[in-house]
Amino acid sequence: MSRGAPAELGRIGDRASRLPERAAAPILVGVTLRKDPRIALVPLGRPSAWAVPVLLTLGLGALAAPGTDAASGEPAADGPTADGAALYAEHCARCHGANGNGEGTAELDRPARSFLDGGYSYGNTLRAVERSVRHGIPGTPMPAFGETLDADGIRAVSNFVVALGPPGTIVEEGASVLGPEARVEIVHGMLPPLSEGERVAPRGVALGFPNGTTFAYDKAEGELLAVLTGDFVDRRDWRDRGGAALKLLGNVSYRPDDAARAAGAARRDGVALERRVHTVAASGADGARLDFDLRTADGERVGGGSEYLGFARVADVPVPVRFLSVTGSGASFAPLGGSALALVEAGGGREAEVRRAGAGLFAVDVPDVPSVRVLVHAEKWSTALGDALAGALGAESDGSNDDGSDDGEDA
Amino acid sequence: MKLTHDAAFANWTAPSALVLALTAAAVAQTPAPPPAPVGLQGLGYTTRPATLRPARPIPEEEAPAEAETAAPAAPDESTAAPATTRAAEVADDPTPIATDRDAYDVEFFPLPDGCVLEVGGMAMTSDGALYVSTRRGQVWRVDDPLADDIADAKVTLFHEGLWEGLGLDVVDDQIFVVQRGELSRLDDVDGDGRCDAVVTIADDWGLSGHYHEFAFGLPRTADGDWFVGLNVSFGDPEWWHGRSTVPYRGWILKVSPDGTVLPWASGLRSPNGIALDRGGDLYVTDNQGDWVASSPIYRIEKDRFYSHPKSLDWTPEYRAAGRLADDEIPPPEAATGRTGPAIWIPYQWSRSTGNLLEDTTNGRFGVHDGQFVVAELTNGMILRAGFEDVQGQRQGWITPLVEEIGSVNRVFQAEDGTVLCGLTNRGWGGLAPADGLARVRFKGRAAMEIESMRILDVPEEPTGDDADEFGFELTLARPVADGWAPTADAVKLVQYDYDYWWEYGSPERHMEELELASAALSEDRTKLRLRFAGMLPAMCVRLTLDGVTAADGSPLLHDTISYTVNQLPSGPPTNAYVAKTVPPPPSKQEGAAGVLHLSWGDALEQFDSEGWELCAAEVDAQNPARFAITPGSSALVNAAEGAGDFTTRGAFADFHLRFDFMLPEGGATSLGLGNGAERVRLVDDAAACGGLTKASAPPRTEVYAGAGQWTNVQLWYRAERADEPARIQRLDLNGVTVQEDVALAQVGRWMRGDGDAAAPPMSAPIAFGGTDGPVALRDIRVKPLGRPSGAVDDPNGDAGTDWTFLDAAGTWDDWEAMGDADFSVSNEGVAAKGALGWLWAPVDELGDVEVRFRAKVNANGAGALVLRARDTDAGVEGCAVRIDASYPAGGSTGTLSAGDAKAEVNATLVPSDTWVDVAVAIRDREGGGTDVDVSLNGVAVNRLSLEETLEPGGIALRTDHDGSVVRFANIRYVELAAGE
Repeated sequence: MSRGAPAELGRIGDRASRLPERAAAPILVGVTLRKDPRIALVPLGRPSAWAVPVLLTLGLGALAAPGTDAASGEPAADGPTADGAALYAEHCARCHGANGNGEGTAELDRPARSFLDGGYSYGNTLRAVERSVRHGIPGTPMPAFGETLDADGIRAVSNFVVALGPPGTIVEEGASVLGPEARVEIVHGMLPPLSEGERVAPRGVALGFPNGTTFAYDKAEGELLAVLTGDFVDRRDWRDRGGAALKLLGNVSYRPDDAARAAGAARRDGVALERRVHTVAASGADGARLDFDLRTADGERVGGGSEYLGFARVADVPVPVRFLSVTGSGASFAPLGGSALALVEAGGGREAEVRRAGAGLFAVDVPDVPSVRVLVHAEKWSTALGDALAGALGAESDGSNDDGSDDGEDA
Repeated sequence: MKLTHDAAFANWTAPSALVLALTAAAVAQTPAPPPAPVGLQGLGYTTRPATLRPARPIPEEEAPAEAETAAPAAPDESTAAPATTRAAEVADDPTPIATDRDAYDVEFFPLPDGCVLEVGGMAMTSDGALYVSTRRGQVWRVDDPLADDIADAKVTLFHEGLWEGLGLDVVDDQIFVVQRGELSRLDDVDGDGRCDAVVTIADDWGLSGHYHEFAFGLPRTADGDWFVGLNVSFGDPEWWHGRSTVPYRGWILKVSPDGTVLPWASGLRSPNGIALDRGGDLYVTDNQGDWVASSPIYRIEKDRFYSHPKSLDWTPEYRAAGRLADDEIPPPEAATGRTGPAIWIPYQWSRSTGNLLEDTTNGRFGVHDGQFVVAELTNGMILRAGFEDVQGQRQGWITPLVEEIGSVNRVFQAEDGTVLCGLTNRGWGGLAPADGLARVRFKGRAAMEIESMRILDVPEEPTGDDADEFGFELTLARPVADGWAPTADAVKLVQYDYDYWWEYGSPERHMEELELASAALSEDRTKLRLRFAGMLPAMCVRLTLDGVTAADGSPLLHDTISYTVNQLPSGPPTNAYVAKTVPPPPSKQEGAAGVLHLSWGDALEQFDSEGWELCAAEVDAQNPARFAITPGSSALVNAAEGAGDFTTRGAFADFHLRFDFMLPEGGATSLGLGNGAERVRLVDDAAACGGLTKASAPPRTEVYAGAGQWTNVQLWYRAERADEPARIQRLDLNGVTVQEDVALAQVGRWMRGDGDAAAPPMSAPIAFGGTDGPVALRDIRVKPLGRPSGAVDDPNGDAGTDWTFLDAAGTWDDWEAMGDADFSVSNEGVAAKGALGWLWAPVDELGDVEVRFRAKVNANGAGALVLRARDTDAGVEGCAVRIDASYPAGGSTGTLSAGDAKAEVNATLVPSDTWVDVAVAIRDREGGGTDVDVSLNGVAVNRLSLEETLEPGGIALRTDHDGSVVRFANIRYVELAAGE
């Protein structure tokens, strides 16, 4: 590796003045020190100057695990895989006991953990135990072995230690994947950033439909984050201690842009109102509803509303449709500019007007009913879509397009 | 409250000394009791050896002659339920109750395929169905959970998709669950048995996204409000420090059905268990960790602060002032504004406590109405607890109840008394099974148990020396068998307290066994009144009864009970806490700067120590002129034949030395100073201990406390100089000055020097005598005073050298970083935070050079300064000077390594979080090879001689792994002329 050239270690920058801008590596959890020959390590299995005399003095040399020479504690041979039992006997048994019962020979200010009953300061996951091995535990005699053992050794001894304890709940790979079958699934959890630079949404909710569509909302903001297609969600917080973000398994088929957000926002006196979702409800296999309060920026509740989720079917392809309705004095959706691309029969002899509301989104408004807006997730408007929507809205579409085109695409 | 004698204690047997002696003899001849139940014995306590003397006979005043007419007064009348019915049933069945399974059935519910119950909450609907919320965010409905045959219970899924459910409540048959981010109502709109609408009741608390941000619940008051607990998250990278980065982490919240969230009380760490008693009092269990010494049960009151400081950030006062609680310094609130737990659960019983409930079934669970059942994960059991108010403060007792159930996180009681135990331990650890749902039912026959405990005031009419003897009244579930008497060898009480500090948990401190002063057993043999000498407030006690059985041979299932004495019943109330604010550990004190800890880590490595061993020692009871040696690490003893002096490898000029020593009877040692300038006598003779041999100066006062006692020595020493002899500036034994300003003999060596008055003072090793019989040493620390130059205004000895300072500019110009570390620069130097990374100093290639700098490393962190650093294909190579205060062996601060060559420092000479002055010189030898010398705080500690010559190179700072925080300051260098 040469100075000045990008290296696999992740060169920070040519000028140190840029350093503070770089976020620190995720340090807390789950960082496995990469196996790097450049990290100077004490050779594996080499007894510390402290441990060996004590082991021998106390006649514990015989406890050295298979694979080591009981007289010296030296590894009998260098193997590619660290021997967790041998490392345990060498580094851990003095305090934690040869069999992990916490009754080692060392006199400690406070008792060492017994692993047999699964007691660990920071949890019994492999990751947590590895961290305790690597860094030690402040305030206790538990030292850090981050320099004594390499990553393989830490992994091996941690596996050995975890295996000493009672079995924990194991969530097999795939067992935490949820898939809606006959009903819409409402899943609360933290949503990960859907693209680079975005924040997580700790109060997220994902609605999974049996037809393979997922709507992901930031529940705190009442805002649609994405529509996805494919499998639903991996509930990764079922593993370890919980708290991990959901993993959305589908492909993102839609993300709102500024125009879409503006089209979906209710306003009063020209000012956008905040949504606070208070109910998420499922209706059978292909309907769902979010109810929300409308609040001013000061938090005053000035109205409410609902967002119904459903589908218009075009040649058996479900097209996501969101039916938005707000109540409250003066709450309405801002009219969209331009003339309508198409008209849709909306029942009661009324015709709704179709306009583009951002990329991949069309708004369907009934003139003089500004408290209702239907948003249709489609790249293009088509007669068939209009017909399907009219069906979904309970009326036949007249199929007319005011520009006479089958394609309402506008730049 | 003032406890008084009452009619309940009529007809006490008042054993005379003679009776006691006879009873003791009888007990000795009684066949061994049945095997003790599994569990508690295995959790063995360490106590002082028992004193085998009979208790003082109970005075007449304590044995009133009226007939016993009523149960003892309890703080709550409802807690006094009769045990007589159960006693009658027992009489019908002659089989002894030998284990808790003879008294309780523990059965697990069979679960459908795919159902894993990691239980977080439970409650029942009016149709008798049990709803169970889980950490997987599922809610399961258990129909017929109390069926005679547990296989008849039916478990079906009600909802899936919540973000955890660590608390569940049922109001008017509607299901409420506290998720991580909100309190929700789960509605089954279409009546198909599945939830299809999730209604947010309240969500007005912070959620940063950190994994350790649980929300716990969910008890409800008579007014319909809920309580929710939020835990703190962890720091980054100081992950052992709790954090409260968003509102109300570390608080208990009161949540109203209209969504209003009221911050109720602060100072919690991870309040997993919350419960209300029938009187509306709120109880919360917390988890041991930083600022939490062991597992507490708090009685929570509005606006109070309990323990963990981070939550204070969200108090109106802190917010208004923009204050943030310190990670390590106790907040001012800790001293006076803190409320201690009502019960500290001993560490041996609980390391991870679940929730608790008040038994309200009038004994149907075999537990007195009004007592509490407490869930415990790690040891996998339920415990039993009771409270009382004493001088306005709640406190109480706790003891195990049913063991080996599994990782019990939640308990819920049905009206028939059945206690449902919900298990989970994923990621937390705990006894198997790790998950599932069990029901525990009382079989109807009472086990022999300590049924309850209350604190006793001093006797109302003291007879003299019992005026300050507080004690306890124990009620036994059944009469104790004839032949047992409460003698001093059958009743043990240990008293202890804890430290309140940022570190993880606390050892039990000030452990002391108290002497049984008086004891009485009621005529019906179910009540014990025990008084002890020396009971203090703001302490915990554990009381153990030995040899107790019921008449049918049923053993006392749990022979130990713990009581938290926040207050004694009379006398001025204390404002002390069981968990006492202590200074942060010595390693964190300012005064630790500059100190070398010679006996930390591998003590033997720092001394010439032929014949010395690291062990535990005490005076041999058989032969008090010797030590009894056991394996351990608490003492350095010249145990082997032919042991020599114990001499430091480093040499010291002016210094402050502290150590402890212990001698057996008639023992002697000495402290050698200044290459023979003086030997301080340390002998088992108070008139001579602390005397100076050569100066013929006896100690000013007799301080030495005696054989077998550790004696502390503090010495301020000024080394011999060209123009003046060495001096003992002051010598203290146990804090008392025994020598002051004594000039010592010139040792001559100095006088043969060149007579240059500017020459540095003479350095010499410190020698502990090892040839005059057994001696034990411990905790040897030396702080060099001044630096090699000796100049007051130049403590680093920099004078006369043209140093180039590297980090003085406080900018990043020309520094270069590499790897995964995060570096920042300030006026205080460079801070490097792991993971592995390097920061190249803006220097050209250097050959022979001396580099000096100050460094500080956090606990468990590590880093280095690399000399002759070269960026090669194999990584940064060169000679590294390690900075590490936590490495178990072979890598402490001062360790040198270059390629495969390594010279280790095996002792933690400098604690973590303490600045150390490091000087390192690297020179090539004529004819090839490179030498590296390092000194810490002016004392040469290590040298590495390389056979090959290291190529010139740069200077790089290194941090070794995630979690490391290494600080470097005043980095400066000077190139060395050849031969310098």
